[in-house]
Amino acid sequence: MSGGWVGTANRLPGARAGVILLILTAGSGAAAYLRLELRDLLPTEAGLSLMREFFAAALTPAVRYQAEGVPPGTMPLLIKVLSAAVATVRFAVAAVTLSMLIGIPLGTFASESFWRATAEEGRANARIRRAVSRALYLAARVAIAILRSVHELLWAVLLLAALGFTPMAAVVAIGVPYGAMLAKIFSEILDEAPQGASRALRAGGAGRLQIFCFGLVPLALADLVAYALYRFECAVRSSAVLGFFGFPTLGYYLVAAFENLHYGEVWTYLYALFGVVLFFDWWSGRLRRSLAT
Amino acid sequence: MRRGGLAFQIDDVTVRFGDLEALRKVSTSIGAGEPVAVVGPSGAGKSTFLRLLNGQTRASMGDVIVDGRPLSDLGPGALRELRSRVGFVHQDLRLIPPVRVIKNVLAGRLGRWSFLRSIAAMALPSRAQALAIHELLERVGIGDKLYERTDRLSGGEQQRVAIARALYQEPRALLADEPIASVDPKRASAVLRLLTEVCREAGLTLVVSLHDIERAQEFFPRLIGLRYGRLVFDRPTSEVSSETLRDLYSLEGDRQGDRAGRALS
Amino acid sequence: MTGTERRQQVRALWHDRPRRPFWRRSMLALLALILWSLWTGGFVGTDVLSERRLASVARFVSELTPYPLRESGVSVSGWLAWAGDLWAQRGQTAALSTLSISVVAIILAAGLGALLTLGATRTLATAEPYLPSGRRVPGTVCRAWRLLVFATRMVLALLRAIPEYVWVFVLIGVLGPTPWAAILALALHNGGILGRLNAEVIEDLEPERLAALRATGAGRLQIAGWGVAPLALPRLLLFFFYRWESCVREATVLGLLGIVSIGFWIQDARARQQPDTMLFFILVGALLVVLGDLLSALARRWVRDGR
Ligand SMILES: Nc1ncnc2c1ncn2[C@@H]1O[C@H](COP(=O)(O)OP(=O)(O)OP(=O)(O)O)[C@@H](O)[C@H]1O
Ligand SMILES: [Mg+2]
Repeated sequence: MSGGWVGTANRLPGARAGVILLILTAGSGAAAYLRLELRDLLPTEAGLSLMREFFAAALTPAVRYQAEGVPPGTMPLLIKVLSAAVATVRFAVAAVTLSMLIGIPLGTFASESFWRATAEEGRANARIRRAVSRALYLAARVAIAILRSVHELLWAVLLLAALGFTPMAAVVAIGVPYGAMLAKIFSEILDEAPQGASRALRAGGAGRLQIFCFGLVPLALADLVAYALYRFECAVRSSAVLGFFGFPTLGYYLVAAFENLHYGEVWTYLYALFGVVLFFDWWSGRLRRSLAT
Repeated sequence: MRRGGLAFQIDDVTVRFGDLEALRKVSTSIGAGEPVAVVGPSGAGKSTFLRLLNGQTRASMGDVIVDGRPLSDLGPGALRELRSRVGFVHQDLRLIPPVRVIKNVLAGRLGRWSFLRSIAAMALPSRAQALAIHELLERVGIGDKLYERTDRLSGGEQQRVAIARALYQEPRALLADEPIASVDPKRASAVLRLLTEVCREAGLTLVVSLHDIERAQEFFPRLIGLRYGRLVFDRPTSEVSSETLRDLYSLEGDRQGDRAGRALS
Repeated sequence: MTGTERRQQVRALWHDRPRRPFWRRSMLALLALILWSLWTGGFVGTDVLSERRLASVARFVSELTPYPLRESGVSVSGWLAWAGDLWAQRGQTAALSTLSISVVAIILAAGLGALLTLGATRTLATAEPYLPSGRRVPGTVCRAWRLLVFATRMVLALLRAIPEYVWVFVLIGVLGPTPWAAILALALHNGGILGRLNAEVIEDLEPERLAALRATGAGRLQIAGWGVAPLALPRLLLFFFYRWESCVREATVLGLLGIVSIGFWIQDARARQQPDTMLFFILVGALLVVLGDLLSALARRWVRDGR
């Protein structure tokens, strides 16, 4: 995604015009297929008043329960929001931890430079070794493609159906596709890292594991951590959404508030999510900048 | 650590990259503890020659015999063992950029450490290791950079880190590919003096490739001249005439013929 | 140098070593965060291996076999016939709807993103973009522009922070279960992301060529249309396709809330407790995502290398 294509703006105008034409054709085809009509965009009378109320509430998020007659002893709304936010972060952190446990080994096996750095030299059944490492490499790539292609909510649906309701289902549901995603990125980071250091270690007689740990990993570490932190931000969103399935994250309370027509409370939960996401956004950005200099 | 140097015998070696012959039928030998400089114009095959000596490049024909054992006979374990005893200063340095200098130097010993030991050392270098490395770095003139991040150093400083790493291996032979390419002239002489002295004291074999003919003549008693992959001369420095050297670097010469000779097809 | 001297010197060097406090503290905080979550979350319980759960897993797995084949025994041809039927009846329309939703959504997202980019780009949203005339600009004007940039960026961040799934939930309440709800949800979230990415690309453009355009007297919007857009286009297209990939992925699940697409049938099968059908539609969704990734990769290569 990075690179200096900006400077080559005018080199391939034909291709670009073609791409844009293609996009617009696909767009009108898709709209025709869905029988989209602008008329349907106009909300119904009820929808309109809901919309008005809902967006008006954006400016006045609730700080107290909107329902009348909350039983005494109920925890104050803001405390409840806070605890939901904390639960959301907790699910997200556990999921990203799992995704690192999955993604780092998988990404290692899926990177070419790992296999190049650790290829054995000298005679000793080189053919068999090569075949085995090739097979592992391909298996890792296929596993990544498969695990990644199923959305985390669909993993949740599957796991809930299989396991019944348990917090672990949510963690695994997010952790597995995120792990595959992390593996893909990690393998790309490893492959883009310069090869000199690992070659030098090999020339000094270092073993394969040593070459990997000291000649490749240090070069990839900073990027990997920055990326993992960015994934925290995504995981917080996913974990909030898992509340729709009954896990006690922000989504759960948000649905309840929405269905009770307490839009002020809905916005309180939305702003809480916004705050958490903003925090992780700031953190990963700051970390990236501190590494760049 | 007086373990004596390694003896290298290069036996009619040809190295091919595709249809390009980087070395062509080169035969020579380098005795244990002997200092030698390899000279020649760019692309002559100096780096290839050095990389041949510890098996980083394989001979397409012929063989290299180190301490009586042909490299082509060594299994993975024996090859690692040999390499851990050969210090190599790469032309492009090949350091680990984002770590501290001390770790880059420590990495020289990896070949002789078990995995667990190397983890421990790289995570938390011991007091003794830090002191030894500080001493080494001081000898190459960058003692105060011990804990600096390697990629923050200048090119010349990094080159000296690479030298320190090779020395920290406690090698029996030191192969240095243009080790003074990016240090200033005064420092260059100091580095060469250091290399030759260390090797003389410990009895290490020293093979250095150099662009700087005068320094080669000043510091090395024996010169090997390469040109277009062929060994042009190999004699004591006193017997290398300025005539010979001029031919070595002349741009015309029999280049046409050499080119034709180098291409196989 | 004596041993003691060296020891002192090394200690001094260690003491003054360059540090990365933010990195270090972040790593510690991260570690603490992880330990705390695992400790208090109760995610790793023995409960998972309880007999009841294992039985439920076993039943679930056995029910993954298509219902009509449970008596007759599973065969590849039988499975294919079953899947073929399902595909013809519902799968095809669902897959095409999902894909169409993602396409329309990403185009709208690009439009929305482009609009918001104008306000979020510091180099465009200033009193005198690219070519200061030397005239003194009143402080209030400067402040107004800065406020605009800040407000736009906050809006972008809010759009980004709220997941598509939540947007759909709200929009279904407003519009009813039409494809528009899914499209708008995707467009809002991705518009927020594209707006921010675009702004970063444009702020990194070299100002000289744009200053020349400004010198001819072009206005802010003219600069954006005739100077900035062509220069930044390749990058913007790359982001466009990269986000489309994610739209396809998200579109497969948005139907869970009741819009006719793959997710709808997954939810339907889930409600009817038909794991076999559910798995079929999940696999269709996965294939769609793989297809999207492939097309997006091809398109990005086309943009980058002209083929
Ligand atoms: N791995 C390789 N693959 C293909 N060709 C190679 C490879 N290594 C070296 N060569 C070629 O072999 C020839 C000799 O290269 P070598 O690096 O040994 O030259 P050199 O004498 O060290 O030159 P310099 O003084 O510029 O470092 C060059 O033409 C080079 O292009
Ligand atoms: Mg060279």
